[in-house]
Amino acid sequence: MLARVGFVVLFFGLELYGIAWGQRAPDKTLGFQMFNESSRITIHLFREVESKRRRALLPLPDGRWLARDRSGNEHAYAWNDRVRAAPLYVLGQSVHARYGLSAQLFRLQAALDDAVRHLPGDARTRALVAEVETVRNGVPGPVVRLRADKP
Amino acid sequence: MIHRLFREERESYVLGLLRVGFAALLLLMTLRRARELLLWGYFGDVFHMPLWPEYLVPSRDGYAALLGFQALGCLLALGGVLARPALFGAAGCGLFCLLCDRLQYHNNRYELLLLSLLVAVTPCDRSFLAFRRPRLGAAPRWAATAVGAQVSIVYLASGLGKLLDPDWRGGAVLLLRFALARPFVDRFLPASTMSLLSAPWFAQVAAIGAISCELFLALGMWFRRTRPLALWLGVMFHLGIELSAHVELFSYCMLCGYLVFVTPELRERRLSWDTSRPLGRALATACRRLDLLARFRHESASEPSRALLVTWDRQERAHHGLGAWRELARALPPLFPLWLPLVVASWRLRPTPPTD
Repeated sequence: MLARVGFVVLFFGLELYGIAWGQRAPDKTLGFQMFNESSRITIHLFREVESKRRRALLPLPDGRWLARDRSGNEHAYAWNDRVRAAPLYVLGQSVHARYGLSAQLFRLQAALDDAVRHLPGDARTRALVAEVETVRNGVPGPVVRLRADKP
Repeated sequence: MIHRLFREERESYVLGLLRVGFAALLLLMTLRRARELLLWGYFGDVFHMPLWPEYLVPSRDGYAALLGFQALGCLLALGGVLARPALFGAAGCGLFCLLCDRLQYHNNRYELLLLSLLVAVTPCDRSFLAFRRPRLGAAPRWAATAVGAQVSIVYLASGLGKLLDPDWRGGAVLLLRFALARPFVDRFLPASTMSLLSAPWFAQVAAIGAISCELFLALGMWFRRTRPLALWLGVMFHLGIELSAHVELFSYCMLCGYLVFVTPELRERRLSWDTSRPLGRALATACRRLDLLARFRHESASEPSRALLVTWDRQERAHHGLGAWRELARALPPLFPLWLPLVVASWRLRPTPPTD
């Protein structure tokens, strides 16, 4: 009987810990928060480049760009090369923010961090920047600016 | 009470059906992930967010092998060969893979895996076996109670989360969800339907209804008096979700989980068809096949009688006419959605008390 009690306590203890942790996590992972928001986001992606000692933001409406490496060879890059998860790969369109606004902003920041780490041949890009139009449950919110600097 | 909870033994036949259901659902989920791997490539090669440390995320081949083990475990569990370890292993593999990328995390997948793990701990390997004869009899019940608790936890967490969110209980979240239904409503339903769905007061009423429903589902299934109503409401709730939202396997998973709330004892009710009529014979055969949970002792009245169907409940009270159909719908899963309408239609009918 002790083994049975132990199993139940361990199983539900871990699960309830996961639920409590999930309430505080931005994307509510493990938290069983179904249909928690009807929010929407529109992601506008930019890359920050250095030109004549000044930094400029170049819009990437379709998430694609060409850049030269230090040897002068040109390479093609695309946001979707690394980021394929919905709705983060959709640029310039209003899409449903699954699991809520905070979830998608949290994931988008991680996606930007990941994407800049995978641009070794792009000598010109200094950072990737996303400007996100937000609508929380039908109410327009602020434009959130996220950035990830190239390491 | 704790002693009774962990020592209690009841008939385990229905748990076999629970195992088959969850093994099938888990197999579908595994095949879906295998399809995603083939169509879109390995998630570890692109941006992903593991909950484990990155070094624990398997390689592409390792992931494919895990999916293979998972599928094999599901097939073994389906057939009843090493059913419990196979289902436990499959669910364990699935849980590990799920937590390798929180971008692919969905509550319905997590719930399916947790329920499958718990079902594997129940004595679910004694019935519905492809290669062995079933072994009927009493078996420990505590793990089945844990499966029920898992079903309740999901409703409770979801319901409380919505209750504490002012946007949810105020109807703002549902109002926007209803707006998504506009193309369907405009095409198939009267124009007044959309104006109703666009009304904030209606969204608020619907939100309060949905929250109350989830909280009632979490608790109502544990009490004998409220259980049939809670189960019926749950079936309707999930039919609604399935029609409006398509949340992968969530509804099927929860409906399958409802089987643990079925009274474990078998054939405590009786029914009798008038088999002198061709319709009676056909319905008797169909009914035997639909009685997956072995609720009835099936009898037939070969002498012509006025009633096509007579049922006897657990107290041996006889039900005729609509009352008999109500009792039939209550016990046969495919007919269960008809139970509450038949309760309403037959509320004046009284059963015949048992005769000594």
